[in-house]
Amino acid sequence: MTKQSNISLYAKLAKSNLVKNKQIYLPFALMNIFLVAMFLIIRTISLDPGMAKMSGGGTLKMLMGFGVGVLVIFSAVLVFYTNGFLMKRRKREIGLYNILGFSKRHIAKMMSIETGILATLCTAIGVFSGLVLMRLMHLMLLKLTGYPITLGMPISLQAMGETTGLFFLYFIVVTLYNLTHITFAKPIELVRGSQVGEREPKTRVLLALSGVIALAGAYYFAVTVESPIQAITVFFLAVIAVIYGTYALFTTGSIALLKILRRNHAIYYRIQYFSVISGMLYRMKQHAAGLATLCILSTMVMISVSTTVSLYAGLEDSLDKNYPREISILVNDAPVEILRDLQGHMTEQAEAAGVTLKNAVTSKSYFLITKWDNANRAFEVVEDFSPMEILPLQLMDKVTYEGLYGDIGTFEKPILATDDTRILSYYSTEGADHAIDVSDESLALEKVMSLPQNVTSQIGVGAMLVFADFSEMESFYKRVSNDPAYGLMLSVSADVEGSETSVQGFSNWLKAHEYDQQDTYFSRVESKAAARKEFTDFYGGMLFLGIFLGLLFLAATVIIMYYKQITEGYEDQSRYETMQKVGMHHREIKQAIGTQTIIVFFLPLVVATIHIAFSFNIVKKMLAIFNFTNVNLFVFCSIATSMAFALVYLFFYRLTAKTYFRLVKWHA
Amino acid sequence: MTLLAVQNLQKIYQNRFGGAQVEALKQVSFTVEKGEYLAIMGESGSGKTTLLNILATLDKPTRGEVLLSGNKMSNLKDQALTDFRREHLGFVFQDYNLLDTFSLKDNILLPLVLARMPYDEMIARLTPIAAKLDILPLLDKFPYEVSGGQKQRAAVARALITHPDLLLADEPTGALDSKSTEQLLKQFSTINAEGQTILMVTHSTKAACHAKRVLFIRDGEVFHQLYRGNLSQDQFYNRISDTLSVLATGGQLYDKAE
Ligand SMILES: Nc1ncnc2c1ncn2[C@@H]1O[C@H](COP(=O)(O)OP(=O)(O)O)[C@@H](O)[C@H]1O
Ligand SMILES: [Mg+2]
Repeated sequence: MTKQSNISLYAKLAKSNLVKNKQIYLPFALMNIFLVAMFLIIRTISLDPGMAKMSGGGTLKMLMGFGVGVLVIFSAVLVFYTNGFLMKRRKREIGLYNILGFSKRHIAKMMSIETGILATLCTAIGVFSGLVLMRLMHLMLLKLTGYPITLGMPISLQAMGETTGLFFLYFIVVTLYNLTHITFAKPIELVRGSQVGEREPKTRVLLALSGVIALAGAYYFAVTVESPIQAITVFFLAVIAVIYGTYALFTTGSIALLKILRRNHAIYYRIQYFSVISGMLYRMKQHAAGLATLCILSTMVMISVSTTVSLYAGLEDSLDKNYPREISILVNDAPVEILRDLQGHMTEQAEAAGVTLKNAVTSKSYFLITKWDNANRAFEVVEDFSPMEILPLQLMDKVTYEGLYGDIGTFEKPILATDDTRILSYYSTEGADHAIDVSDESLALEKVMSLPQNVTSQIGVGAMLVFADFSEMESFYKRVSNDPAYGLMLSVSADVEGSETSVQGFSNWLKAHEYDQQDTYFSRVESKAAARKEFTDFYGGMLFLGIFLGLLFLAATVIIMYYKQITEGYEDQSRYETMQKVGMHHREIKQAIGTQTIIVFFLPLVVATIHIAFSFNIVKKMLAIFNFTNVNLFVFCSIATSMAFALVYLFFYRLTAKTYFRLVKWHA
Repeated sequence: MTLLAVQNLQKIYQNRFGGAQVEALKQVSFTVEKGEYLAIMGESGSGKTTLLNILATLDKPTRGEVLLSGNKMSNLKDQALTDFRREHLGFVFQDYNLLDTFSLKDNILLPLVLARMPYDEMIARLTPIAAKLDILPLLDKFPYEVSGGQKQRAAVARALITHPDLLLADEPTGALDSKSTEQLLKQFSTINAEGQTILMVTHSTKAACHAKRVLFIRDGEVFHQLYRGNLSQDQFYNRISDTLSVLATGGQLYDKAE
């Protein structure tokens, strides 16, 4: 045989192999096409020069860069994971080739050509669909971020090159892995490969215990975490602990549970459980890892979508918290006397610009970075702060408080307001002195209350001290601060009557007509409208990313579910055939599959929902960093996302369950 | 009393892509009395498995009829057929067909679970059968932990536990070594002596000579039959061998034993 005809023989074989195994290769190809398209889109957007030029485009670029990173890692994991399923199914066929006289070199050639065909097709179709979908995704991004729709559709050769390169790299590595695997296997092992009798799994107490501890620890932190900053620091650790705990518990817990069920004769020897319990126990080792993966993925889909939707939907809310009025002029570290002057400036400029102001307020406040010393029941002003522990303490006078939050009543001694449960519980204990210790100063308190509902701050407030008058506050600050000369924050704020354009116009006017007293003090103009633009950029970008990643995780969930069902369907074929010969009805098979559905497939969903429930507090705290504190909205978004996800999950489950039934159904 | 009547069975396998048809059974008729132990012999490809699958209601004949205790099987629809199979027939396959997910005990109990029998009753049936087949100490083991002979005895127990009218066996000793073969065939004889009707398909003379009657099929037709009568096992073995050698040369025979 000539070399030429040799190659075409392999190519023919490779092609017919792919077609013959289309039930497993088609989903694999679809998944790769999807990943390629997604990667191309997000990479193109992250490289888009038009976007980068826009204001706030930098943030967006960063967000998209993050998305690219996630995709690179996630695609690799997914490709390898699904390749495992493929190889498991094909081992037997490959072993047969080997026994029939194909040398391993020949097989290697054949498989390389297979992968080559697959890789070329997937990247080509993927890039093409990516280009088609790009328009849609790009429009969605522009819409969400409020950029002008006129911004042209980006096409980037660099992105296309990188996409093709990346996925070819994945295919090459996967093939190398498969080839080494086959090279070192005996043909008879390969032939048996997909149906080798697994030993019954052991119950592993240590793994179970460590899983329980990891999960309990993560849940505990998630539920009890107090400050947003602490939440951010703990979150990552908690995520890792939850992933570990989920894997450990699924692998051990499911086996223990099934063994208990099997020991119960009244349950086990019933037709709808008999084959299911034994079958699941038989392959629980591989089963459990798949289930844990489904559980983690489901959690990720739900969290990424619900948080970003919440943020986006709560945008106005967050704006209100940060910017109680449309326009503010802020001056730091100036004597308090200039406040009247500042007010005058604002009014003058309003007249000059021809706009009417309303709801004007002034604000005088200090910020202290403190730490709550739980042993000594005292605030301690800190210089080098560890973000885990800090508790921002805001000082303001009665006028400022009432301007922002409404009437507080009459009082003489300062009022402490906080939501920190450690502090609240201290002051609610019997015999606690009604005084606050800040560093070495002690301050008698009028009362302790919780923070106002709509507390405004950009870095989050741990506690607030409201003083009856300014001079009292000032002298207190000077006594406890490490930097007594600085720290006073003054501002005047007001709403502007008229449309948004008049607000925008006045804000520009104010920036042009700066308040400066012989260049002594530095002043800053802030407008809600400008902030709205910035917020929309950021939250729109986040939402885009959330939906994008949500889709990605969903696709992963679906593909893993499909392959699980298919491989199990094949494995169960002969088993169900025998059972049908011995006298099992189709109806009973469906019933058994139904039982399996309930025990196995909804377990990940249920556990994911439990994860979500426990994550509620920590995620809420983290959202607070983005100025999002609308708990009801967050609850609503979480529930809505979970339900939508459950529906999608159910739909795809039924689809794959049908395939499974078709595989195990046998006709006389 | 006639338990099984097979009338003019024909089975044509239609090739899936049109084209060639295979006539596995041409015209097969015979009857089986209650309490009989019948072996059906034929070369590989003569249609034995096809015949047994039709008797076991696992396949449908192209033409002809099978009656069990006078009931026409062609009258039974899918679901009823499944129930009928479970209630009246037991079968043993060459390759055991045990489920690797079940222990031997659970494999044997499977038909009873499908019949929704209470656990206590199942166990009451299991113990004597397992004892008779010498697998009592192995019940908690899984198929991959026991030998081929032990697997096949578990498969026989699974077939017998429903107290079937007819035990069907397709080359039950085909995958066994000679010691296990001997043991299984002895147990078949014992079971038959206790009243169980057995129909066994085999190409092994050694297996067939344990039966009380042997039916030969060739080219999809019943070609000949031998009754054991008062012959010893060795004598019967020789008779069968003689018949087979004539069969192989394509000659005609008439039954001297009848
Ligand atoms: N499902 C089938 N489709 C087509 N032909 C078949 C099928 N099963 C058996 N045959 C053919 O029918 C004939 C009888 O087969 P079988 O009953 O298995 O014989 P035996 O069990 O005696 O070896 C053979 O020629 C075989 O090739
Ligand atoms: Mg056969």
